[in-house]
Amino acid sequence: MVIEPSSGVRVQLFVTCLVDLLYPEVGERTVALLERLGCEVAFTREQTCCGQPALNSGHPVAARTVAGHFLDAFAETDGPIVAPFGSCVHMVRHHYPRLFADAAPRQRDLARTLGARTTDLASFVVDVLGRSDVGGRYPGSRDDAPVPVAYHHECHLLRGLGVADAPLALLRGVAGCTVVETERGDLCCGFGGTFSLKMSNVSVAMADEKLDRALAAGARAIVSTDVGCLMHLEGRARRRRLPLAVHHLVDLLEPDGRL
Amino acid sequence: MADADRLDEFERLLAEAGGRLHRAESLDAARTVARELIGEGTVARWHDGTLDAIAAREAPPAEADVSLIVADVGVQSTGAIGWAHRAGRPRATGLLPTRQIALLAEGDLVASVPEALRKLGLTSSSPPANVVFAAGPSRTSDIEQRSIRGVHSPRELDVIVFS
Amino acid sequence: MHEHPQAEPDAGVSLNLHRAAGNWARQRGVARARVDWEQWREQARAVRADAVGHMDELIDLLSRRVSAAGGHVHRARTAADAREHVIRICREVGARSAVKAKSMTSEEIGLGDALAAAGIDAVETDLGEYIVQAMGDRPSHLLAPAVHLSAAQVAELFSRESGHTLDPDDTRSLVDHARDVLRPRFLAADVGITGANLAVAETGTLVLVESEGNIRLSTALPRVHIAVMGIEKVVRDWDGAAHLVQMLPLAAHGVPAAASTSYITGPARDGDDGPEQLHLVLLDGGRSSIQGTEFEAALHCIRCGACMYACPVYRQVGGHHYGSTYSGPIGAVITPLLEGLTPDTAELPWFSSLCGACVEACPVKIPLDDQLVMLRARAAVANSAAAGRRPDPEGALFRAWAALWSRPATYRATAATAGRALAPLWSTIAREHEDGGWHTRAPFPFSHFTDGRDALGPDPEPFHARWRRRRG
Repeated sequence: MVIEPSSGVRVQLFVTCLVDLLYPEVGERTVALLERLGCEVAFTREQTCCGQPALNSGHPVAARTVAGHFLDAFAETDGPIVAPFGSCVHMVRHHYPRLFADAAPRQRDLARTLGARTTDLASFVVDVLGRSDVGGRYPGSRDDAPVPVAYHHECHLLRGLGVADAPLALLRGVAGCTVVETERGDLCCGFGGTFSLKMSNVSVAMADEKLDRALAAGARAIVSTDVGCLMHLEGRARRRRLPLAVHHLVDLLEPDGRL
Repeated sequence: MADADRLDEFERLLAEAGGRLHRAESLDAARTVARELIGEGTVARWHDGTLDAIAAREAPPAEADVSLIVADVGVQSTGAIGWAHRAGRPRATGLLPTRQIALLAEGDLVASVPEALRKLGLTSSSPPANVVFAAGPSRTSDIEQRSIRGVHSPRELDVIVFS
Repeated sequence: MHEHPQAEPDAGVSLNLHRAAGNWARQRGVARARVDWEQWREQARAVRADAVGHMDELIDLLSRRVSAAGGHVHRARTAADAREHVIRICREVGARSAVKAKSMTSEEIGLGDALAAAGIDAVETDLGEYIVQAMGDRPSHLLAPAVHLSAAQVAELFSRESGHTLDPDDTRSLVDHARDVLRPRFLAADVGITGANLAVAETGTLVLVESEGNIRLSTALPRVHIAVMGIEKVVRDWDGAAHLVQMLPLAAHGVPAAASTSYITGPARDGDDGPEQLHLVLLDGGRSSIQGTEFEAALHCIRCGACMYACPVYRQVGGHHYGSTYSGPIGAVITPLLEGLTPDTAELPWFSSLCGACVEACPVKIPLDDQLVMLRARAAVANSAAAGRRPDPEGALFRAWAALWSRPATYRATAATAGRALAPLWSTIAREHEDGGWHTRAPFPFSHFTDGRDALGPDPEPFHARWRRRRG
């Protein structure tokens, strides 16, 4: 398979605190994939977190403090800002304008311009780089025995940003697996950030619905883009000892990716 | 949309709502259809010339098997029929009997809800006191989501459209 | 972070709600295919925004038009005012019995209990409401009040009422029983009490939408009709009303029209055999305090119930756990706004994973997810104010977090501490099982996470450290 390098687009990696701290391999694979597709990936060590956990928990002042630093971290950078999943992109694009509505002009403008530059990995690869098939392989699989996988739509990517097709298109290009249709794949998995702590029983019941539907469809793995969803679903699958693996999309697109 | 298509669309939506459409080439033909639908049942009817020469045995609304009314308008986009109440058109007539038959002149079938509302005088400076639109018979799914036709008001609705 | 004490998933309720939600999801596809759904939604939003934005002026116009048509208008600032109006009207006309048709507003003001206390025999005529009333229960969903009950429970109730054994699988016989019980009540009632889905200011017309026919019966047979309506339901004119009356059944059931729609302008006239008197009770009940705030869009609601069908949290817990008249996503927003933030209502914005399904379902595009987040902020402020001089732990936690995480050096230091030191320390303290970074118990403040799941611990080498090591 020949992969044409693109025109050397310089991309800012917005790694997100969850990937940085809990799923660093997702970050490494994201970089490796972008570089394979011909991008020059920059990573500013100024970045910390977009502030979403505080906003969703009802602490907008704390959120704004941390979000203000996000603006500073990326203010002097150029190029598209790419995150491995949608919910932090949604925070920057959708919530920052209101969060900084009565801030100083510099922050108001930065919130707007950075929002316009920020996008999720799947949309960037498919819509900006124009690549809807980047290959990849389900780890340990054989072409003659493809692993059935269920795709879980991350809520902020699907409904918040309106992105449904890009990640699925990329997933379908992965060798050694086949996507099975699950009933109501668009339903929330129940993570919801601090919701998973505040209404833990309901959150777990929602995970069970998602996991049971995947098993009912014959899936042996669930693939998604939001590592919050992945952490919650895998945590529940492990507790119930279910025969379901849980992967980030990029784990399949660039399984051997390292920095 | 041509008239024939309008009537087809109306029929389709009426059927989806659980009602039935009958086509008649004239008012007399419509009256014949009504007589057949009524069969041996007793009828409560409005006092409207359109409904003359149909009913055999009349009964008060609380006892009649069938109600017989005139629709002032039919709405293509929803499959509903509509009418305004006034003297000679008691509200109880259309509400108490289990089956309902409505006669509708084809020329009174309009395309849209706004047109129908205008036609019934609702958008004028002095609308009628009570206008009703019925799309199919009454229904409920309040018991375990099972869909049942006919709760209080009619269980069956037959609309006879005549040219 | 404390667990909400009552909201447990309820398997029996959940089954019915899942069925209802599944039906609705299928029908939703049909609705969208019939029309240019996104354009219709935008139009519906604009109609409601105009109406709510000019609520005072339009309510005045509505009142004048209703009076001109021969109706009586009664303004009620509070629920108590509204109850008093209704009871007074009933007494003035010598009413002993009433039939009540579907009205969330009458539920909101507690009208049922007030009528009973006043010695007026009032029966709920909506099938689900009738069942719920007969069981001494409370409705759990806007459109399907008995959705939390099984056919077996209904059959048992109806068998007791009728003295015959009714078969739970013969739904026809159950419905016929309700019809037989209610028919004489309609015929004998002095007063019919309803709500109103919309009121058209242009002509003073009330719009009432239904499936069963009980609204038409309640507004045709008794000699007095009382409609109780929230002031936010007013619309300016027939252009807007015509659009919304088509939107409502599409959003609620995926069908182009309701089984019956009644347009009522004043009492009976011109020899029509309907009610001699029409009374419209207009309830503020806290609605005007929402207008002009960042929550104003919540008043655009046309009570279609779509958000309840869409919400995965509502489907797990059912309507009763919301503890208020209005449940589901819209309930979680307007209940704290109408009733004020109390320890109970402050929990409601947390009945959400912020998945956005409600926003997508809403025919008037209310940004419910954003409003829930804003309400969480209000609740947090109220919490810390209530805490007074005692430290508010959650607020303090987030302030500390913000200070640490708005500086890269301290952010990285937190990661280092968590990754290298805290996890093995916690393993020792908690004597929990650790497997490839996954823990069976998470430390404060995340402890609830591991009530039902294993938790992934921080990686000993975060991404930023790997980049530093490999790329300088």
